[in-house]
Amino acid sequence: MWWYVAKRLLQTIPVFLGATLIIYALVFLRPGDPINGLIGNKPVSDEVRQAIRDQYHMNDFFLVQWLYFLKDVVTFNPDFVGLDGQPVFEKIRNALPVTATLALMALLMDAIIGIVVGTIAGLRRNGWFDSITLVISLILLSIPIFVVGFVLQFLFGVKFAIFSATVGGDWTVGKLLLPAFVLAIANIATTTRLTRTSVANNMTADHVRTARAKGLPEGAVIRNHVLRNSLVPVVTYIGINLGSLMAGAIITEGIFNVQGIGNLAFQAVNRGDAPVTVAVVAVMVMIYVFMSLIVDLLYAVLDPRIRYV
Amino acid sequence: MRLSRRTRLAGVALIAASSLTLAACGGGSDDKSEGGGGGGSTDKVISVYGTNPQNPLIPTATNEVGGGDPLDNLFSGLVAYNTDGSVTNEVAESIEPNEDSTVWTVKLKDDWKFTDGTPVTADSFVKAWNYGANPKNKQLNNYFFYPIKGTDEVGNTEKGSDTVSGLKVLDDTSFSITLKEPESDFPLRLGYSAYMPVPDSAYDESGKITKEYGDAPIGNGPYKLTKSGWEKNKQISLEPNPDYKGVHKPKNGGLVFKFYNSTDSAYTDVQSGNLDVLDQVPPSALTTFESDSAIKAYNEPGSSFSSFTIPERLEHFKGEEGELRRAAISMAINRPEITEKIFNNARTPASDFTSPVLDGWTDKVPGNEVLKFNPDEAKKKWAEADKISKWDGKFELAYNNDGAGNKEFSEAMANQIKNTLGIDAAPKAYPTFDELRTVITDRTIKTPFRTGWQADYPSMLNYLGPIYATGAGSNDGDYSNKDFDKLVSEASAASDDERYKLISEAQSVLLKDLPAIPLWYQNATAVTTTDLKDFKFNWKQKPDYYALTK
Repeated sequence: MWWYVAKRLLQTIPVFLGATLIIYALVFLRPGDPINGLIGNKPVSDEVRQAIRDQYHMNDFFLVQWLYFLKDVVTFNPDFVGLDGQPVFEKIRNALPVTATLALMALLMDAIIGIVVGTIAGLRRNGWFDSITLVISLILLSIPIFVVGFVLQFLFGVKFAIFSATVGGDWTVGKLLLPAFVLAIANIATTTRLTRTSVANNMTADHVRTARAKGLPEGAVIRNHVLRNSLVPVVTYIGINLGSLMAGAIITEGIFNVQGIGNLAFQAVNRGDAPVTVAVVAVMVMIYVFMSLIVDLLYAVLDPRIRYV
Repeated sequence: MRLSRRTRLAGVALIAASSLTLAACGGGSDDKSEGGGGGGSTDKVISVYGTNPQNPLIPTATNEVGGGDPLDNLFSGLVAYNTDGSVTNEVAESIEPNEDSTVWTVKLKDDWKFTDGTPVTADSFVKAWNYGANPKNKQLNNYFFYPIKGTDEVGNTEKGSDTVSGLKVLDDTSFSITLKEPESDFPLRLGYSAYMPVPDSAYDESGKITKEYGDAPIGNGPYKLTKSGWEKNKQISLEPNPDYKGVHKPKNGGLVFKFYNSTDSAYTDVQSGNLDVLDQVPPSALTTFESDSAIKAYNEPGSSFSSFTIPERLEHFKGEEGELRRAAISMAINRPEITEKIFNNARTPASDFTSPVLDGWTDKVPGNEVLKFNPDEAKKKWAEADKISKWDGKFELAYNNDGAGNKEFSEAMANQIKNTLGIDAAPKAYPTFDELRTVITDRTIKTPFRTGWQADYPSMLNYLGPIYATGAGSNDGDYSNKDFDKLVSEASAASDDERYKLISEAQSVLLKDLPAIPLWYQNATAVTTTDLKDFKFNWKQKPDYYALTK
């Protein structure tokens, strides 16, 4: 198993190289000159423009820019700065904790609510609870996230003032409750549907009938034989979700003014800030890869038949 | 056995998951404890909307509002701007011209100090300006130094010299500035942040301004940074500077510039009382903000001017034919309709090339009837132009799609031109501002394009010379008219009534040639919490931050 983990970790190297190379190519192909955006309508001399372009290697081919990027990353260069002159590593270190917390909170809400509701619905398939969950989850899936975000923000943040309307730089877990819930909403619906189907299928499986036949109490049957088997696809979905939650936070972070990774990525792309854009996306890719590794390891816990050699 | 194996696996997964989370949180914890003290303890600290500065906080490097607003409060220049745009001497005891206004002698008050305790001397100014004008230092504001002798037309020191030859330190508290041309309103410029003094501690041994200084500048202004100062991605906190001796003495307990991703979330924060001042209303709230009882709303004409430029090199827009076509297009645009329907009266239709907030402004510039909607006259002029050379092709209007309202007004305007003149007219989108600016700067753009001007200092001439004078730095359309150049340089040297008369004449030349079609003045809009007092816009469309109280 340890060999398996090491192998998977080694695989991240080509993933990192490939992802950053692709993004560098994309940023390179983008028309326009970010320096013009920095300057606005005001004049600036060609000397200054060229000096700034040289500083960021913008006159080089993207492969060369990419090699400079790799050198900065490998050496952890503290002078590796974005177009705004701020160190890139510091920016990411400042933005990552709030987004990670937000995503984990959303993930927890998603997992707890989704699995509990889905299990109940699955155990009582086609009952009234199941039908109501189906309707609610369809509604949740079909409303765009920014609508839910603005409506909940207005209702609970401004009108009733139960939660803080925005998060801002001084974030706390309490302030993140509302945005985390908004972020979790669409996923809760999917997790519920997935758990429900999986549980319902397992209820009629042969090994469950056998367990019942040998006189095991119903609670034990459900815990040990239904749930454990049902959770394999659910864990896959939830685990991979953490990656997409981190990346998909852009809209939620915008609405609730969370100064996180999503916001950083949005502004960097807008400004054509290649160093920051590439670094942020690389971090997201890495998180995604690590999350899928953890999901794979969890399989073995849930299903002992799965072995890593 | 089986159980222990599974536990082990779970353990690995758990450790992996938690180390990921811990690594993510590790960096943040110490930042948070530092942030605790930010903003001081009194409830008189005013929180205002801000964005993360795009450049280090160095006066000659900062050219956008995210950094400019804090800088204006951290530094004091030779003069200070009053709310109405007039100037008062600040660090300067006197600024005296020679008889033709080409050499200005500045005397400083001798009791000013930077917040690190060092005195503000003539050298503090001259050294900072030399630094800004030297292209090796890559300062975005170097063009502010172009009027001074010893710089080229974009404000760089000539021939790569380290110093500007027109700047001379006379003694500790006086220096002289030699200009290329007579300029009677030169002191009006000197309150802009690019001209601020910088203390000696800012420079390292090689003479570069350090990164540490750019992160935590030491100034001489009404405010200084608090201990927490600029917290990246979060806020910039200022407290009153006890040694400050100027005219903008803070009336509040400090300022916190809170950073926002969007004006929408800032607006929500004003509504819920978490933010005191938002100095621009998001487009989504423009129809409702003046009737919203949860906030106080402000809306008045401001100092930023919108237009679209028709480059001189375009086919059909040269000479007499061009003059007729430009006038026809201008008269085909119904400005009041657009400012009302699309901008909800947050714009005011233009009647000249400057701004109504300025001293000497008038809506009676001869020739400005060309800015009134007049479809019959427009059609007539267009037909006359057709007689000279028949119009063919399409009239396109380039705009950048990342600015709020640009798409809507460009479409509306293209429609008005199409309906009035019966020609094929359409907007042409560029996804981002920098893409549009790139094709404008390298002169490859083949269509008219939207332009705007936010003045650097409160003078009508700042709206004319830098944009329409032959070869000027922001003359995007390559306009050139000797009469206009002459009138502007005469106005620069003249004073009072004579000066305003010459400016009016210069504007009449522009209204005839229409190198750019004036559209509207952007209104200054703002919302504040209901308990905020003494809110007033200054000429820059910004609140006078020092005066705000609760």
